[in-house]
Amino acid sequence: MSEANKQSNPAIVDSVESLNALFTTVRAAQQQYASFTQEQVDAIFRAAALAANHARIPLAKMAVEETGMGVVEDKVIKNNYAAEHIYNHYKNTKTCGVIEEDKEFGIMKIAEPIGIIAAVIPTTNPTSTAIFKCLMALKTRNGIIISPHPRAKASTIEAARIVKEAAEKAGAPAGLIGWIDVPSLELTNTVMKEADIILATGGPGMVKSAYSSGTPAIGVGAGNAAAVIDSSADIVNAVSSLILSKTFDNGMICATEQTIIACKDIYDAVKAELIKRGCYFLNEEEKDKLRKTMLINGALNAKIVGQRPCTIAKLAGFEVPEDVKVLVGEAESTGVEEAFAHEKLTTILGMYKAEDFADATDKAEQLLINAGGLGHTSSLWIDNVNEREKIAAFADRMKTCRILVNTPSSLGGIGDLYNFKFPPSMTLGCGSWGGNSVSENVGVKHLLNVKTVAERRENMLWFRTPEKVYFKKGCLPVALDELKNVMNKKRCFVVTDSFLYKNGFTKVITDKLTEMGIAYTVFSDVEPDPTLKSAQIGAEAMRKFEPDCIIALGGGSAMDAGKIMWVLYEHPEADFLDMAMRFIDIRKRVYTFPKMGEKAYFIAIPTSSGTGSEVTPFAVITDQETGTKYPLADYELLPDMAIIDTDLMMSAPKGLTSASGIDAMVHALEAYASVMATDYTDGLAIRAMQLIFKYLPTAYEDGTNVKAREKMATASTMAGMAFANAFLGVCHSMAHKLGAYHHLPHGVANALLLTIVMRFNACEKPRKMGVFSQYQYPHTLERYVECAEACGVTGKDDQEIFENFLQKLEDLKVAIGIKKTIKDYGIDEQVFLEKLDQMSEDAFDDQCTGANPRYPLISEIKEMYLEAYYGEKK
Amino acid sequence: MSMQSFLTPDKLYFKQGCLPIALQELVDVYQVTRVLIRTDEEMLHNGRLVPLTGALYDMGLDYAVNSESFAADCVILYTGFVNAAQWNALPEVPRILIPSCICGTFCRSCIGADMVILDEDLIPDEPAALMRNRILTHAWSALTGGNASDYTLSWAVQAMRTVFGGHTDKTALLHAFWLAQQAFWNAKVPGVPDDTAMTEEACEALGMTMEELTAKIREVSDEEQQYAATHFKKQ
Repeated sequence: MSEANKQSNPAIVDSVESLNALFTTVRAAQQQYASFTQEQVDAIFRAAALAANHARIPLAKMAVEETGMGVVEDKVIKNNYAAEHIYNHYKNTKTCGVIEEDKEFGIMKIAEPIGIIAAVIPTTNPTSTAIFKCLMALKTRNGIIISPHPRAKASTIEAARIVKEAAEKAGAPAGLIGWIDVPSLELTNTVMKEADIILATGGPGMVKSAYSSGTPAIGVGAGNAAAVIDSSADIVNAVSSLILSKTFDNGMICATEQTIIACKDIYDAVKAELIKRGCYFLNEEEKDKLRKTMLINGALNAKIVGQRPCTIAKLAGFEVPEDVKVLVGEAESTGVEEAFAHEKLTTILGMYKAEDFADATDKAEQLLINAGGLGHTSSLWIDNVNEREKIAAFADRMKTCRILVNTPSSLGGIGDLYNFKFPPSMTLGCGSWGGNSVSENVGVKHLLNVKTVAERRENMLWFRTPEKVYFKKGCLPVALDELKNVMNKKRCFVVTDSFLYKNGFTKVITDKLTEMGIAYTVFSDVEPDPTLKSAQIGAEAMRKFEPDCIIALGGGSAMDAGKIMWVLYEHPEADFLDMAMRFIDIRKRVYTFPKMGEKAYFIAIPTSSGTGSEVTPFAVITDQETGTKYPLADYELLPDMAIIDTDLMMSAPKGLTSASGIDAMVHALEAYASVMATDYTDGLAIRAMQLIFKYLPTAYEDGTNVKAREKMATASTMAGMAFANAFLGVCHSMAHKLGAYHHLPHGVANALLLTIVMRFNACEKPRKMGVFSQYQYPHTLERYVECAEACGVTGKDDQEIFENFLQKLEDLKVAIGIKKTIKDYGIDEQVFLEKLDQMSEDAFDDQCTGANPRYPLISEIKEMYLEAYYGEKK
Repeated sequence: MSMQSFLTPDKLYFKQGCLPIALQELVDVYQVTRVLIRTDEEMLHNGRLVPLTGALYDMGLDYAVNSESFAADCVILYTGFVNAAQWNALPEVPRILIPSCICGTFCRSCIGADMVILDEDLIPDEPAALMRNRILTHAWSALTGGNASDYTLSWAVQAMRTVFGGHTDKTALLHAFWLAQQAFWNAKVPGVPDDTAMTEEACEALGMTMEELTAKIREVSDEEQQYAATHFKKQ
């Protein structure tokens, strides 16, 4: 031993005191090692792996000599594997500092060591497991204290010492690897309690005490692999591979096959091949003798572990030739009482005959449940080209974390030898079925703490409008020209309400269609709040008529009803409740809206200036039975074409002009204040506000004023395009419910709430602000001031400008005949108060609430309703 | 004039880093498998194509760059300049436009592309003075276009608000650029004579007199001149 090593492992560890001293040493070394770079770590990892590999033969000899189990030549392979395959697999793996980074998405992962690993090493694979765990610790910048099995302590410690010396020579801090020299239950428990993580390989008792220690643990469980041989299997390959696997280190790898289950049509062939290749089939007497020797009080007899058949037979009281490879006991019961059903960790196999593949699978499952091995390993021999379904069925049934196909399971289970994507490991996780926290082959990732640094990023946003928007007074017939000349449409379905139909509004459309030779039908039964029932009737009529074009003419109701009929016509299978499902992000919603436009082209033509439905992806429909309103929202509902022709709006009555005009104003203001507002929606919203302030009073007073009508039509569509993309806010949430509960016109309901909501939103210290990555701080006051200034409002500071802006809006309401309060509209106080709580809750739950810049409490909504009712704060 | 209309992209997607998210629609909505990228010669050598080709590769799509023989079911134009002739020569498949700089310009058809993606990560840092003047020129010209409407005015004025508001950051200027392009190519239509009616409306919308607006425009133009004088002379 070098001087440094003497210092780093100063005393024999044989007591709690000396173990505590060792902890101090290892911890100091680990803290130093934690700052090593990836390059330094990789150099140490390599040097340690090389040294372990050099010592593969002496370590193998020492292990067999000390434990009296296993085969030297096979242990050489295990040592070699633990050094070489582990090194090769992890040599380029990043384990220090930043291990992953995606600058575009702003996410970074940083690997940190855990601290000290308590490594419990079994007697079956003492040197290879010690090499494996020490190398893993070195690669992950952890310290490690090894608790060897008393029966294998000398070889275990020697393996650890070789790795430690090589690591320290390559620059690792002295004392990073330590061990208990004189193992005892007390010291094992202490090391598990004091460490930062336990990596336990061993019997079920050891693993259980690891999990019970209170320290995070990665423990692994007992195996009991059954090899199912399907009728389609290559028997020669299967049998020789099974023998190779079973005899490897005399069967001490936990993934080794313990039983064979062969289908009956090939059973005899399998048996003959086993005999031909050197297996010995036990007679009944020998089987009984062996059963008594294998299990003692239900527990595996340690004396038979890792032994050759001739030795085992002698122990059981009978003789077999020296060159027998495996003892095979044919069995029928898969119950716990059958010794051959259990894990034997030696050169004994149980063998079962199955009726067919399904029965074989049942038996394999029964063995796992009755005799142990849940979570560990299963094995299947099969024609893997033509029997994919059986492989899938087998994989589906087995509650095991390794399902190996046409692979010797001992060497296959430890990975990287028979499948090169399967990570190499000497510690095989068994998942929750095996009482473990890990279900994979344990690797470096299980020994790291990974920190995720996630930087704030903004959502992708969008701006979408109908493919075609035509406008200008008198443009309707010109725009419809395209139906024939460009699109070659044949059958057109017109949706409208009875008033418009009776008053000849559809005539200009039907005349044009007739002129172009396009067949048409008119559905004129749309009601003011269109119901699902009437939409279903309309859709039925569509199915009969089979239009390739739908024209919805009217106010919001007719256009919304048209959109719903369009959906029902194209997708009768679609479920309304699904389509109306609330969502936070329209692009991440659970429900995928059906693809629209495959049967019919949709044209929306407004006859009033307000709803903007001709350019929005929204539609509201009422269930006539329950009175429930279903708001649908999806860009699939965006009309293909919008035609805005002022000729259709010239005769709108005063009440409609005022209510729909102020609705458009609220659309513009809510879209501008929305957390989803963008430059694209802002420009449109501001222009809409400017036009509405300037032209709405004139359009209201003098309906014949063409310019005022035309500008209002434009403003309404622009506001629609703004809120089609930025969405609305809590004013609309509240107006929807106020309208539904008390039958107020939608625009009037909005107008009554508007300035109250704006004052609520403008608060610079709201109780809760809107949640959206783009929305950084409560800036709604500034946003309203931008609107105010664009509309010519002045003042000495933001607050005064804002107040003057509210006054300008109030003045506009007066100018267009809107009353002050909800009460003024004749809503009974008692009725209003009775419905208030439910109405407030419903308003809170409205789809529009999500885009509001201030996230409202239900109680705040109620206060605003009260203020709107009485005209003052209550 | 009996009818007016305007063109916008079927889908306009934007925000820094949005490229891979927007491109996902190629597969999810358009069922695209083979993408033809049209780009400028210099982009083949300066590494700026990598984020785009990388994203297509990650999505498992076949692609070719500037190929004449590649049978594509989607074209992505990643460039700063496209004229009508170039646009019309493209195959009749979904056309995605990704502007590669703010100092460029497109054509009317480009504005109606199936998808336009604006991602700051795909735009180089260009001198703010050049970008600002370029945007303003388009926005101003849009106001006098014979096909100007309240729609084009709202976009042009919004672009002007950004420029007059003193913004020099890439994000604000990228959106002002696209707004100005949308306004310009909708308002300026070949064969339709200029009309100055909208300039007064624009002044009102901006809350400025014509003199103030002219002075502001001159200011931005001077900025560019000054930049050019100090930077281009040295070369």
